[in-house]
Amino acid sequence: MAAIEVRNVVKTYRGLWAPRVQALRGVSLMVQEGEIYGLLGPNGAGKTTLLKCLLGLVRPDSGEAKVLGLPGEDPQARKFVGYLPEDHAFPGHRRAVPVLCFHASLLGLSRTEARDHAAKLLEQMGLSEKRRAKVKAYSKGLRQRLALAQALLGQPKVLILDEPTANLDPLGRKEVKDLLLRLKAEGTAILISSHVLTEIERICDRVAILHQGRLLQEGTVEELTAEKSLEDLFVSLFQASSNTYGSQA
Amino acid sequence: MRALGIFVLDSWVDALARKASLVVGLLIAVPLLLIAVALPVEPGSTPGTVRITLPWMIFLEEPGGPRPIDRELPVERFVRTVNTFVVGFVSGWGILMALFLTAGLLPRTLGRGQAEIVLSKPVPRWSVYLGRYFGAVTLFLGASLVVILAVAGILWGRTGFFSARAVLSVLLVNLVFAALYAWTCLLGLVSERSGLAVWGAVLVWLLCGFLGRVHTFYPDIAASPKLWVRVLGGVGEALYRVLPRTGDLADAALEVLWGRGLGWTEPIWATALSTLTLLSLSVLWFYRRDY
Repeated sequence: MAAIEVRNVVKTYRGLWAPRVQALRGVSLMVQEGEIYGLLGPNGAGKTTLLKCLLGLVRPDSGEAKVLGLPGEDPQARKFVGYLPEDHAFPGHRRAVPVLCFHASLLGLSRTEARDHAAKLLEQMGLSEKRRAKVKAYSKGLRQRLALAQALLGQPKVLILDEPTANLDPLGRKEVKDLLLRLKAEGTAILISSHVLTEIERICDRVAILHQGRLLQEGTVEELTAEKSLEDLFVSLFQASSNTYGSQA
Repeated sequence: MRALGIFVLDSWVDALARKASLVVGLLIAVPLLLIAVALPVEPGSTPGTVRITLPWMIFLEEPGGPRPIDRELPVERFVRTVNTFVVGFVSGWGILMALFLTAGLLPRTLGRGQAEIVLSKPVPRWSVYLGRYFGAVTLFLGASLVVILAVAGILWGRTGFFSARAVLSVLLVNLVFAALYAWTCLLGLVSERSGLAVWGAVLVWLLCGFLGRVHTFYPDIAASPKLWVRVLGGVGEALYRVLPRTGDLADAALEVLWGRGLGWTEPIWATALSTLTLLSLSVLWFYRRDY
């Protein structure tokens, strides 16, 4: 069984006053255990919508988005999933430990387990010294680390990360990269959405390129970069796709 | 149910972690407790009475306007008068402050960035919404009960008369808060703005009070020869039937307090039904919403 399974997912946003937006047009992909899968695409390609379909945050119009064999809307499917959204926020007047303990309790952890997990993750993310500070006093980088820590609560089997290294300094990026590689070695399935091509190229086993809600290309990094660099492939695919589907977008 | 409990508990923690909640809570509770402690009351010349001496007038249902007071009155009447003031204070200023302090609970939880994190956890959506709702409602219930019981306890110690009716009366005030907070939650969910949520709820409160007053004149309105008066009156009466009966509940709270009993329970059931309907519709809408 694949850890993540997406089959022909279609999603159109309909607003009363806003125009219809076709965010996903029949996307399919699979992520296996112990695999890091990269989602590439320009802004508005449908990457975040796809991740949200897997978590039940967005309901697909048709198709299936399953995590560990269960549809994303099923709360049980989310029990072993860690999610880092691109735009994250925490209550500014709370401190890191209560924030993490609250999220851990939502995963079903006991109070003692939640505290132990929180302390361990804060140490791992280099936030131990800031544990007594209120979240509103954190820099963007520290908030990103805290958001990553909450995604890792409960030792998830599946990690869904939207721009995991955003706001991090080079040292932080390296730490996150090492962490993801270690989790992969432990069997965690990781789905990453990112704009940073080098990051995707270095850590992902397979990559999918998304544009205007369509999956343009999918394969291992070696397959995709056999003839040209990922950056050149990225640009050429978008130009070709815009020429073909531009008028339908 | 576990998730519901977590959100209720976290709502208390969240509210208490904010300095504003403690400051406002103390600003409401301390003056009331001071009044109960400092009122110049001593045993009267006959059993069952107290003597009260005040250089100014407090509300004693006496005509004639403000004047110094030095008189004996039945102890029950004295205690219920003070309780009327306390319940009135809680049902007006207390509800307004509680709405302001708790209005941000749901918009903060379901605002951009937080909603994605919370809803990606293995919890059903209804538990998030109802957990926040019942978190605020139980917080107000606890705070108002503490205040009323503290005042009643102090008065009991000073006069020997304990009015359990004050507790029953505060439960009716809590029903008003529960009804208004259902509106605050819905408006907060739709707008994701706590300011809009609280002012919207205040407007509903004013509208409900207004409709309650208009309802008393409805037979005259329905008999009006002018069509537009009858149509407007009909719309107002329909809204009165559908919306919470906040004005009627305030009257009922006073009737209970003064031992006249609840001759009519319709406002209670009507308000409860209206609130349950609104909560159900809100949760349904929340279920269908994309984040």
